[in-house]
Amino acid sequence: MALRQRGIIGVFLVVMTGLSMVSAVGAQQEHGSDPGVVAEAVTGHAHEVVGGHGGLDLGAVLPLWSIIPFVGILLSIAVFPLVAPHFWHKHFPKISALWAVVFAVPFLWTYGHQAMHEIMHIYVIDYIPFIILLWALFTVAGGIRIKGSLAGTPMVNTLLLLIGTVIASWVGTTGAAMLLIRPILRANARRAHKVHTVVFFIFLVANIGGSLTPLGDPPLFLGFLHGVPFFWTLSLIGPMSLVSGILLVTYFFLDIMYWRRETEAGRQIDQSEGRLGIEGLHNLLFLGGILGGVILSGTWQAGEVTIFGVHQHIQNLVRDGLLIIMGLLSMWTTKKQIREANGFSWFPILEVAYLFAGIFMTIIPALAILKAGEHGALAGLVRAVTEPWHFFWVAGALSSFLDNAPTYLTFLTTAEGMLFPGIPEPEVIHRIIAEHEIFLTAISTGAVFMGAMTYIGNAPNFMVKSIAEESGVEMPSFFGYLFRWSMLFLIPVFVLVSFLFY
Amino acid sequence: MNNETFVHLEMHGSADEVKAFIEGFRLASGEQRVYSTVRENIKIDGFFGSLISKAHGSTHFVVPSDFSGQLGEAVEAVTLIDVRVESSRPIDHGELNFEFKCFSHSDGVAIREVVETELPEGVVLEGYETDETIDSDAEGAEMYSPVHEYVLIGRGQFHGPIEGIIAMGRRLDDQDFIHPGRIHLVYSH
Repeated sequence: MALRQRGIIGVFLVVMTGLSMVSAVGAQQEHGSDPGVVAEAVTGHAHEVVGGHGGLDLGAVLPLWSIIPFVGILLSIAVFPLVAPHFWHKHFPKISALWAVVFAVPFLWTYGHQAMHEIMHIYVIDYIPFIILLWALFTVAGGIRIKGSLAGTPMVNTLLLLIGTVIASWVGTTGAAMLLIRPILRANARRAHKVHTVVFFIFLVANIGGSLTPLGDPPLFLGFLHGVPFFWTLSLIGPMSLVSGILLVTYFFLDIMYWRRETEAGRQIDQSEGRLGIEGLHNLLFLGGILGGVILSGTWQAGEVTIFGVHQHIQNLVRDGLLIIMGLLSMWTTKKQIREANGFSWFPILEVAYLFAGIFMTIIPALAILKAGEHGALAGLVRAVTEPWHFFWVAGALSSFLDNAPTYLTFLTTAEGMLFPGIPEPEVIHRIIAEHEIFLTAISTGAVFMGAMTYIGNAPNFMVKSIAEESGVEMPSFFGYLFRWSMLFLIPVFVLVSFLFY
Repeated sequence: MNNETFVHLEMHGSADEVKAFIEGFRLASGEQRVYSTVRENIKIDGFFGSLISKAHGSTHFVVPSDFSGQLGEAVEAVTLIDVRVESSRPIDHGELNFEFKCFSHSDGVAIREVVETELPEGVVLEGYETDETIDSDAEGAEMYSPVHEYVLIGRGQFHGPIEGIIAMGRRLDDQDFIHPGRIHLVYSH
């Protein structure tokens, strides 16, 4: 509880700092501070400083060092859990808030109302819908429980991984992982060899399976929020099926090999859990409601409203309202015992809320600079990453070690800046899909697939590791997972994907 | 187990021939207590020493001294293959370091039972330290800040007759979350 309070205070601080700066900076602007002059002084070039809304083109004037807080928060998320887990566990909301403030204060001070607009824009358009979707999926999926005894045979294990891979796109990788990790651990409880099952579970259920809809993996939902049509992600079925198929077949034979090494006791089925069944099945209705709400927001045009100076589509607000209702209905109608048996708590979603509050604040300059393409401070990156396979591997490599949601957004923006500089979303997304679809495919698959490369690539990875360890599975270390498992089994498949598709 | 003397037996010859010879001799004599240093994770000469030893055509075993004596006599009579006893050093005792880290109370209980109870005759546990942490703030699953509600870490060293140390090494190997080191041989002067 204390942690929650501290965390809430942290996020509150970020928001309040932003809001309180509005009046101060607004007053400063009225007294003659000219952001254009500041921009010229910083960058030395004045010719591209006028943006589409009559303000500055921030991407053209922001210096490269303005992305330091973004790099800082991503590195904090990657490094602290490994080197100082207890410190991180206690203080991550403050660290997130710190990076956010480090960026927000000078940004607001220098660019005033325009900065405030950018901040409000990313929170209203991206952050709030992003958190609402994850919360709703997490709440609904956490209300479904697979109970009963399962035999941990190669066939049953492979079938569970296949089911997890398929449903991950519809309940989210976090929801699918939460739903299936305990049943699969129970099924294999007596087996001596079960690490490979958890590792392939991370590969397939916690990552690759989520690539077919925006509900599946956070990067794809960010893409949806930026204008990628809901059903476009189904076009990823080619690479997704190839990767999943190869991994499932590989897993099946690997599990047969380990099964043969098991003792008689290891092969026995634990019958103590009773008959197989699903509890909380009515949550599927709420899942349908979430799906319907998201699809609705992508197909219905209901006009716009202005929130804190940011234009937001009414259909998006309706979607968010529907999602909240679905989550609340799930909370009210699901037995407490089901959630307890699932080990359900609000902590994972609070983590996402705190950390992404910082990520979305600090990502503003990175996105603006990348959107400016050749005119931004990251022109070198824009020039270097030009081919679809570049995007697949670079977005993927960074998604392996940094969270894949902001990485996806960064490279989506890079592609926008490279292919159609100056064209606003969602028009630019439609043009990319129409004329250069392969780039979007490469970024999407790179970010989603390679989130499986390390424990820190995608949010559910650590959760699965943690649950498995507490259930008596000795999981590999960070580098053990990377070198003994993901590099061995994933990289060859990704090379194949790269050759075949990009 | 008794206080019978064991020796570190170094055999020279083709590794396959040496193993076949030892296995045949073991079966003929009815002796069960013949241990391969590779299989039992017994440290011989360090990494480079092991490489040199292997290149030199040496294979190492830990066997009862009586068995070693009989084997030495038998080797003298061998003519079909080229094997010989390179050395036979009496072992005073063995040492085995270990450490563990687990994340559930039930695993902690199981590990403690393995490490602390029913030790083989003569084997003692030295330098044993454990640290049990229960952090109620860390209850439940986390995605970005993975710490465990329950953590038990520990380390120590088993010390005693080599046969008992080998038995402990096998027992620790069978238990998840325990990481035994290599068995060290301490020779009689």
